[in-house]
Amino acid sequence: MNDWPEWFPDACPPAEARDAEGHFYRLVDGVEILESDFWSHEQEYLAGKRPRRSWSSGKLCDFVSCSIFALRSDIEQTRKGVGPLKHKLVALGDITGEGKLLETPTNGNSHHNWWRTQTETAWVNFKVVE
Amino acid sequence: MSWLPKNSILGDLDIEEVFVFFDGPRVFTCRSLTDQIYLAGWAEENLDSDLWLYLPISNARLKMIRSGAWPLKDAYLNPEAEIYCARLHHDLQIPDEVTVIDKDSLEDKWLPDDDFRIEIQTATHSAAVSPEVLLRKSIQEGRTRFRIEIQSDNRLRSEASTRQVAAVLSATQNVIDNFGNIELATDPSQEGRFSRQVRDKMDTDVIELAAASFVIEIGSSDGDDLFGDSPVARVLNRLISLLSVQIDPDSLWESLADLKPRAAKSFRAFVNELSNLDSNVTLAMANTQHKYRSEALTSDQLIDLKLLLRQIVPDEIKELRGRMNLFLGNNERRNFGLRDLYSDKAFEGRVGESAVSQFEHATLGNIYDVVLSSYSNFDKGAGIKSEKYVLEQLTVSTDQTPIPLQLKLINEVAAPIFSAKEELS
Repeated sequence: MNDWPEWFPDACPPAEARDAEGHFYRLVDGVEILESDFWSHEQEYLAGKRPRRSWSSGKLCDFVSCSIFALRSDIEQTRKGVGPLKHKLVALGDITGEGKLLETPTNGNSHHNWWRTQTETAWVNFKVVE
Repeated sequence: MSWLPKNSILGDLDIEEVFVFFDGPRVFTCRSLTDQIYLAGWAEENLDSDLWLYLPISNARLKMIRSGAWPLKDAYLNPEAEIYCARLHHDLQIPDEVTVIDKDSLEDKWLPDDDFRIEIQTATHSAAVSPEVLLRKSIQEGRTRFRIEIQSDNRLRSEASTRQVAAVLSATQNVIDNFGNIELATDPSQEGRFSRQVRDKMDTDVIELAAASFVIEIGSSDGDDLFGDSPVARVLNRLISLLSVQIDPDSLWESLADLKPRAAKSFRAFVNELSNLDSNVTLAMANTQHKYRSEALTSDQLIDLKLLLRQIVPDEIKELRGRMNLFLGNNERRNFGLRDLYSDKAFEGRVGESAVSQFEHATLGNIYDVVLSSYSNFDKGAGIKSEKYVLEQLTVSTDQTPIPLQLKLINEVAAPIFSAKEELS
């Protein structure tokens, strides 16, 4: 049984999500990788870092996940397209663990939503690959 | 609270399409209640607020940005109107602030990299109509419509190379003229200009360009008759039949032999031009009699067909005229055997469509004045040159004197104005 936070919306992660497994890329703030690099919006809100601003009422489950990519070219393309992401670093890690994973492409790229449990520690596997 | 600014001069906004997503939409379009489209991009992350740029954008400009014709950064640096800067505070007690800024005030760190492009297939024409609508238009107009649909992965907009389109259109009219020559002329010439009747009846006009990736529609200049029939309709029906992916090489050869060398070569040239597009191609026709029929060929299938045609419709096609003895004939199988009286050389092959009625009345052992087409092939595997013969004409000879074989090379290839591939290389 996964230990999902009580603040996850109902039916989240969705039924079609699969067990988290494999290597993925994530943008992080520095060489020293912190758990906060993997925080979802909701976690940032709960930590008092940001307000709760949602982009769609139907996407609340997205709001508690974090973005990862299967392909390095896709994450690098994403980073190039957005001013505040340009200074971030690309990290690669094995996400195999308690989490759930769902392919959620934007314009056919390899974007995935990763939902992490309260006790998920797979983020420690990530290393900056710049 | 919303991801988008609230109670601002931008109006009530709804996200339409997300182009970049990382922990939420970062570059996207949104639309106001008054139908203004904005291109929005995350510009700056601060401890107490986020800064977003909102660019009012026209549909035409958006299509160029969306399809990668312009780098995204250029959209900000060359705005069509004002640029809005929206600051969304983390303290929700502070209202969202939206101000107009000058493009010279844009900071580079807010903007995408110089070479970042959104590259999404984008229809820059209105989409091609459905087969049902195409057929309805054809019936309403009382003429046959022919559609060439080019699906290219390399093209993000509904655009196509002028050179390639010109070459395809030229090859299309050429194959129509050549097939029409077979359809209309009593003795279809294998060289020179087509008769005025053929040219008039086979005239077509480009009548529509549409998206998907790129669609060219042509229509016969002449209308169909009351039964929905016309020479152009028959020609296009024949053309599409020849492109059937199910057709086997032997049947294709037989159909092309019926067309005579010149038209066969024009078909080969037409397929070459389609193959040069390096795209999947669908050819369709619509008219009252034939309804809607189409053949879709992938780029690989077009290459296969091109290679097959290179084998069965070689460059070297000769016309032979001589006086010969008919020693073999089978009406059902449409094969013949003729021996030249002068050289004693025997020719065996297929009876072409134009000679069928003459052949049906022929008598074994009689002497005939004969016209044959000779298709030369070099079999690379066997390392030998082989010849295939088609009987084009068979006339009873009143004179039994042997005459030397007359041999003429049929060089007239139904060449387009130019070959796009050659132009590009």
